[in-house]
Amino acid sequence: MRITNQSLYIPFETNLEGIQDRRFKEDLRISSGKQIVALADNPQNLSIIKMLTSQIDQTTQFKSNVEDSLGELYVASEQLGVLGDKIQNIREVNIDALNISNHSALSSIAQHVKGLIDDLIKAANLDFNGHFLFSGTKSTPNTLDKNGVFQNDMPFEIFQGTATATNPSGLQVTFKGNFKDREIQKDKQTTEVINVKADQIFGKDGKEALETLVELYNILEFNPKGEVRITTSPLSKEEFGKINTLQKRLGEFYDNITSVSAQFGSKINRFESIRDQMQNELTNLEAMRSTKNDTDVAKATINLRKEELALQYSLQVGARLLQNSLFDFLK
Amino acid sequence: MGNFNSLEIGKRGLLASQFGLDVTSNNIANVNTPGYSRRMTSLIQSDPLHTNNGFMGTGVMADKLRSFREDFFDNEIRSTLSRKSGYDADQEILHKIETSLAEPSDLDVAKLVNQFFNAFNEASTQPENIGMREHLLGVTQTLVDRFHNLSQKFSDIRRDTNNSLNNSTKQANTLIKQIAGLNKSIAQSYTEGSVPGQTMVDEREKLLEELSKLMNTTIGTGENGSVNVYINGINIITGPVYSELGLQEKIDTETGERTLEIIKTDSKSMKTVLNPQAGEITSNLKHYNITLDENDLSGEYSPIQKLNDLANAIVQKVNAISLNGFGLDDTSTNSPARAIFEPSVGKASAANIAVSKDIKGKPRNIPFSDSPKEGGNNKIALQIARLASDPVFIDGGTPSEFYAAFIGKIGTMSQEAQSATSTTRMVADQLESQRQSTIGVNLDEEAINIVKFQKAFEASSRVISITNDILGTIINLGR
Repeated sequence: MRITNQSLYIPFETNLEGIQDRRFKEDLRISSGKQIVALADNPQNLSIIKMLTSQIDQTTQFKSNVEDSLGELYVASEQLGVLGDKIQNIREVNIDALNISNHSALSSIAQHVKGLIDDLIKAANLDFNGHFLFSGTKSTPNTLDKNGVFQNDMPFEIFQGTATATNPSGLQVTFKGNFKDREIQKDKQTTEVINVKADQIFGKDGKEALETLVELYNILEFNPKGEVRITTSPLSKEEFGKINTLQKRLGEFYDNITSVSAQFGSKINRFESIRDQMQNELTNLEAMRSTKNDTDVAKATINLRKEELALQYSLQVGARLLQNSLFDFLK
Repeated sequence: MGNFNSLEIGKRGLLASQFGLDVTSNNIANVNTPGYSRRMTSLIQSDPLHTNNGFMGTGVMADKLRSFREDFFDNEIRSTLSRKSGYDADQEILHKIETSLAEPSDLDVAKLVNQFFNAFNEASTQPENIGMREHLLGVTQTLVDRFHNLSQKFSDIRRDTNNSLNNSTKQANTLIKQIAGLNKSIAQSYTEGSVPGQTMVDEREKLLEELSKLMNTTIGTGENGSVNVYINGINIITGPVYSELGLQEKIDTETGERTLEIIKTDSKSMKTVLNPQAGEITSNLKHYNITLDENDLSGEYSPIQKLNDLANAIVQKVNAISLNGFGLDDTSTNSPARAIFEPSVGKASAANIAVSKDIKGKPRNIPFSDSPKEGGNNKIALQIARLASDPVFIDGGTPSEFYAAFIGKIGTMSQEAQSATSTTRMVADQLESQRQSTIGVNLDEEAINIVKFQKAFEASSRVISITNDILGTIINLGR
């Protein structure tokens, strides 16, 4: 084949461009840390990377959901303990009332019970991050069912109603929330309930336990005629019987709260375990993505060096090849 | 025969050598001129004289200049260049699309779609939280802005392609006019076989190659060295006569789709659609009419349509759920039917998707609840968040799967164009090398020719000098 100047230049130029292009890509791979620097590099892997990234984003979000909920679960669990303690406290006070020699202190015991009921309601009205913990999905003041004459914007309220023979103090308890679940999504398919409902804590209508306490207060504060008990007025046999019954019911409520609290504790453990699993899953997903996406620095460095050498030798050989002609030797 | 004959022979030798040196110099001067085909001096003996001793030579004379063009290589190179420029144009447009999509990176629209659904997911943990609602609005606006930005960029690329098509058509017309002009000049000088004739042939071939880069052409041989040019079988140039090319917008009467086509207009103002099969114009027409046309009905892959499909699916699916929801302050048992996106009626696209006025700047209105007066109810938010994993969200897959396939397809198109460019470049280089081995200038050869003609020139000069001496001797005999 006849070799001409142009037939030397053309492949030389093309090859040089090829080497420089490959060298640039390896350089880019090392500096960016990414194996794929253009869509055309590896479309199949790029699709896989996109899917993995999406999966990582979703899992990160689910993990964040679980972590956020854990905060709420911790607070709710602690608050369940507080509620249990209050009821236990009332039960202990009640035992004092049942002591026959304490009849002169019944009124002060009644006031103590009333104070504990207030504390209990205050504890049940706790909010976390702007929402009430135990009022179901009616978790903000403006969504509470305020159909009656209520004093405040809290889900649980004790208010002064009309005194009756069965309720001489006229104290009434109301619950303005509902008993719906609050759920979070913990993975693609499933949701998890994160709230404790009022009826789980306080029984029927979310206020049975509180009404029981008001009933107890009424017995302690008022005599069977509905008059405020005077210090010399002891409890009648019938009242003793009622208080014993109420004490028993309070025991049931306490057991119930303890049981709910235990279930909740178990849920917290499960959430912590899910969070750890998700962390593992994220680590694995990121490792998988890394194998597809990240530069194998050793390989890229070797390739870069290869291309640099190729470029250097091409330039050296090309320079000699293109310079020499017969004219160089004709003097 | 006399001594004067020797002088004449010497003179002819000088002239032939001088001519050879001129041709060689011209070859050397054009060693790097694109399209130049080397010339070779063809020397022949001049007519002999009949003498008593038989026929006697009278020296040398330069015959025709020989040129080395080969139609096979020229045709193959034109055809390869057509395909190569088409792939180059493909690569350029796909690279622009790639850049617009910010790919490959973590700032893509898929990331924002994920963020949008994740924001619902996050807000569902505390549906009463205004901060999270505000965050969701921000993420939604970012997603909408990204769609608008992409739509604008695709539109810009399409406009650039239109400009490019206009420029290429103008360039094609200039080339066609020049080729027809050269046809005319070549025909005039054809019979002479002179150097200017060959120069024009080289120049015409260069122009034909430029034209082939724009559209694939077929070349037929015309009269007196002229050529006829055809595009997809339709005659564009016949000798010195040529047709003008132009772009024509075609509007589909049923669908309203607007596409471009390239036409030729002849001297009787008759318009014929060309439909070239390869070349830069062909590629740009394909991208203008399909890849970048959001109303394309060809059924071929159109990224802008896919992007619009994604925007539309998000709008339709999210709104279908949100219309049944309630905001934080809604008290009526009837849903206020609030949409997250607009347009709530008709098909949405990347260009017209917007955050609904129902919720824009009104985070309390975002419908998270499936019942009124339940701030902590997140049923609707959860339903929307779950759309991220909906296996039939779009094209039988989730939004992420759709985007992964979308990017994969553009990547494959880009890869195919890149691979085809490399292959055709390799073929073009090989063909050009082979053609150059025939028509190209070899400086070593030319150096030998210079030495050859220089020595011949010196020898002829010596003949004249010796003949001069002899004649001087003879003249001096009479003194």
